[in-house]
Amino acid sequence: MTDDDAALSRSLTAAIRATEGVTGVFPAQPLLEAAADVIAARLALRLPDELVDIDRADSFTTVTAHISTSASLPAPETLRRVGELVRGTLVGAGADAAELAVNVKIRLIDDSGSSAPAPDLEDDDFIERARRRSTGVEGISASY
Amino acid sequence: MGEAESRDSLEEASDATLASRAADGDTHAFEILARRHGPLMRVFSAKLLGSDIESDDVVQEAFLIGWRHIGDLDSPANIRNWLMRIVTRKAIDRIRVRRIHDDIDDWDPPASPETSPERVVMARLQMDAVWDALDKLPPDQRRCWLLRESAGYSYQEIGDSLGLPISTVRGLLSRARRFLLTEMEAWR
Amino acid sequence: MNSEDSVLPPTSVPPTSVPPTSVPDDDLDGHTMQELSDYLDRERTPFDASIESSAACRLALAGMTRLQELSWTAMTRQSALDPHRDDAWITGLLDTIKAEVVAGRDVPISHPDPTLRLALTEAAVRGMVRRAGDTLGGVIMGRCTLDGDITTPGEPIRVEVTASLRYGLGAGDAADQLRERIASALHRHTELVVDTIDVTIDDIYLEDGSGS
Repeated sequence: MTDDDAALSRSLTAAIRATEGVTGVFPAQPLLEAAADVIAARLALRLPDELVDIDRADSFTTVTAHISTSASLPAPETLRRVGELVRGTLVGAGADAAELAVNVKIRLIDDSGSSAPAPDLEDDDFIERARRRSTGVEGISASY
Repeated sequence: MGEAESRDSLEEASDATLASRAADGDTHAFEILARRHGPLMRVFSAKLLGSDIESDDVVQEAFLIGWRHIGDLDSPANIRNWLMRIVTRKAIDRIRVRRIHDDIDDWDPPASPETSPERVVMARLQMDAVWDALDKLPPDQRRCWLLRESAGYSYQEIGDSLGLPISTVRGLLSRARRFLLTEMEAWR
Repeated sequence: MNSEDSVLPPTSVPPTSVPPTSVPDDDLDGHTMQELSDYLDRERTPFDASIESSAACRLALAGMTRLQELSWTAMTRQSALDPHRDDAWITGLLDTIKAEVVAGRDVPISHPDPTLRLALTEAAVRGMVRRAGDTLGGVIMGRCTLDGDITTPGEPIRVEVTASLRYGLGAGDAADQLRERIASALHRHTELVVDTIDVTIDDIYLEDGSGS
């Protein structure tokens, strides 16, 4: 990446991190396998703030971001939000939308800190079923 | 089932379940394993190394290796012993590196096993006394003892790890036991 | 009995007085500490009548055995006392391993603008399904597989999961609730068309955390 693109990567990384629903940004490019072996058990050495990949081939630009998101928001919503943010930033910086691809991928959905999405049933239904179900079951019944 | 408050059943899961999940790519399950067994691994490696700072590194390395090779684990229930062996190996590697660089292990000759009033007050619990007594041993005696008694290594394995002949291992072990026995009898 | 008194250190010495006698190295009724140490490591087999009939030897062996037990207890106790100095080691570790999870296939999410290619990894979806099950209550998820072409929008897929159930809970109801919870989670976070969700309860666990 050029210095300009490195700076762009850093600002995109920061902006994505701050986006609602995003809990983290992963490196979009994996460490070289060989290097990983040599480093053995050492932790990944990479600039922690330059995680969005910007690839320029001829006049075509591909931007790739890998993220983790919170379970408290639907994943598609967060993906679209991030995708549109990246597109807007690149176009705003002069990119031609016809020569641009933005890849956003969720690698992990975090439920830590937020409760898991509630099922569609009301809580009352759950409590009622729990009451009706016997609690003195001997062993387990066959599966379904 | 059906409680309204949030809960995480995985915290209650056995080592075997967590290890299987981790082998399937579940980092949350691995995190629970790390929190469960990390402290023990840290304490043990610190004792082997004689250093707290290096023990953190060694534990971290052990967990990384554990994650990357978790598919090699034959019996998921044995994950703790497996991790202990990895961290022991990593600690021994460090000790070997020190020797190559001619670093002298810091130790004082074993103090004579006296009972001073201060120590009586300080080390009421016998088990703490063992832990403190270990620090008085010369490093090779201490390591033989730890590898034998805490890590369950055979004489051959101790010899291979520390680069010592078996006869020397036997001698170091019996000397360590004699010293510790004497120390401990002060508290009976 | 008399020989016992002459060999063992005193057992009721006031703290400020004479230091205890060292365990003798070579006069435990004619046996050395080295011998006893070896004998201990051979798990006291073959039975040595001379050693086993010596009170001094048996006391020394008992002491060494006690030391073995104490070492484990001491270690676990120390680790419980160990202040959580910092969790930095675990955060760094987790960041690294999260980045190394095998991603699997891409599960696409649609967008009207063809410039945007949005997706979840198969690993993210499977992880989400597992967590949906873990947080239901009374269930610990096991395996999770997505069968079918998850990379093509609209293709019906089949989800297969295994789970462990807390002892005492009914398996039939549990499977139903789990199925609903998984379906709901997949509907919320993906655009997958789910044909079937196969739930197999293949284990039970006890509330205290021990496995089946």
